[in-house]
Amino acid sequence: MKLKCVVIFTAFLWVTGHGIVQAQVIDPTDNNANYQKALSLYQSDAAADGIPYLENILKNSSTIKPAAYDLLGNIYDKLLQPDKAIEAYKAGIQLDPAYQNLRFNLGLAYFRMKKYTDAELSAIEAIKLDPKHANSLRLYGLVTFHQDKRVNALLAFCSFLLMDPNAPRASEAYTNIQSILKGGALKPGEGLPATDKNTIALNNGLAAIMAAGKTKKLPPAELLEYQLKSIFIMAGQLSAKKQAKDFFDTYYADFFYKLAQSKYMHVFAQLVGVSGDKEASQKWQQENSQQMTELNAWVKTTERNF
Amino acid sequence: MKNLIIVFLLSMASTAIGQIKLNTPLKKQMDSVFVLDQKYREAMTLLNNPAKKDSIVKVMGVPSEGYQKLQSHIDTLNLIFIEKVFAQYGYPGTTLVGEPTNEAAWNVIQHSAKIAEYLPLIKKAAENKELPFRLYAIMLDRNLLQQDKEQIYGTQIQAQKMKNGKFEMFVWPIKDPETVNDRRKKAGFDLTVEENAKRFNVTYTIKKIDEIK
Repeated sequence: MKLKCVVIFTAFLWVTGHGIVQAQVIDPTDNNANYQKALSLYQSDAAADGIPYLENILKNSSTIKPAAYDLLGNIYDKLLQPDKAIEAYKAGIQLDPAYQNLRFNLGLAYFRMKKYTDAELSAIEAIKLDPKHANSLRLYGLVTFHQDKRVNALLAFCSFLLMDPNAPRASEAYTNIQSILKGGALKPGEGLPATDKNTIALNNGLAAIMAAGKTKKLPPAELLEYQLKSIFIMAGQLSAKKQAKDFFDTYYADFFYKLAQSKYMHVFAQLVGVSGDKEASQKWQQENSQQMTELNAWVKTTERNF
Repeated sequence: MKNLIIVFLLSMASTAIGQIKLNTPLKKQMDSVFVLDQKYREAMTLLNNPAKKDSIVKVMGVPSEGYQKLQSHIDTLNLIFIEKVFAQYGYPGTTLVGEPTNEAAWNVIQHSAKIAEYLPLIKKAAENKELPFRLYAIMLDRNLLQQDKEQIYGTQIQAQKMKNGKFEMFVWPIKDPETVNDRRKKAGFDLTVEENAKRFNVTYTIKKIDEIK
């Protein structure tokens, strides 16, 4: 007689917080139970032990397969096996191209492998799928900065702060902005040099704005507003000249060009100026809540394309 | 009717795009000129502060006596380039190179010995809104100072040994000083002559040419 179905129960010992040894059995066909188990192992120090549970899911027909690939990729990433992580994320994307977190995690894995061009493409897809995902905006900033696309990175960090000025990494974004404005460079081997003519034009423009700023003898807050506004205008004008616009042009340059020409530029520059200090930033936002409400309303109603 | 609306919208779009007349290759060159114009100037200013002198020398990797010579060499090369641009395009202003790149050529001239020669070109650029008018005002004042004449807008601050033998920083004598702030406002300055002087730690007092010469 042919054995139609073999159900294998995986038994293992589970030591609880009370030191009581328990046996737990998981049905390999129960996708949710396998996922939950793999997730709890991933969150503990035994991430690798979660892989068989996810493999159970991948053998089945399930709607949570993309999520399983995502978690599998995260486990490999945690185990410092980026090639396998990327393979898992890509397999998940094949099943569900609109799964935003897979795109973001793929970008992050590429970034850690210093594959900045691939990382940028993944970050772009992640932003397109969820423009409000602040970490994707930040990832785009990091991967473009590592390609010496300084204006791209600057606008990305500005976008990140505009989206979520109270994010845990807001002060880091402020530091990144200041580093770009002060002409900070990456250590040798940590990035790629700018080679395309558009990036070189933007970088030259940025450097000229920094030089022009030095001639103004402005107080720090006014200087920051002058620098940001001039950069937004410069990027917007260069974008407007182009016949074929790319993601940066439409999503970042054109949007911030509008902001630079709006009455909200001043409040935005002030917001960026205080974002290096979390407490000062929150205090400033409370004291200027009306202006922040108006700025956020402008952001919501202003067209921003991909 | 629908087609007419589409044609109209397309023509509107092309007009909007057509307003950007940047010459991108020239803008890139002028951006580089601007950066070079400022390359050692900030360091030269900071070197006047004894507390910062050592750190500036360390960061820049140039001995303190070398900056003037290096900047002077750059200024000469920048001027040669700018004069070629003037000959080909006229003043490279907002229309051609955008803001603030339109200030690059002004800076090169302001740091040269050819202010008098190019002042009319700068004036024309300012009148045509290719350059902020206040920059023309600053250059005009410097030109007048160089001729030992009264300035118009009160932009020039001079440091020199006075008749009493003491070294002093002061606002160079101004023609019709009682109305200078009106002129400054019209020219686009945000600060009054008093406020501007304060930025340089100078207290504004009215002086006459014969007091200082």
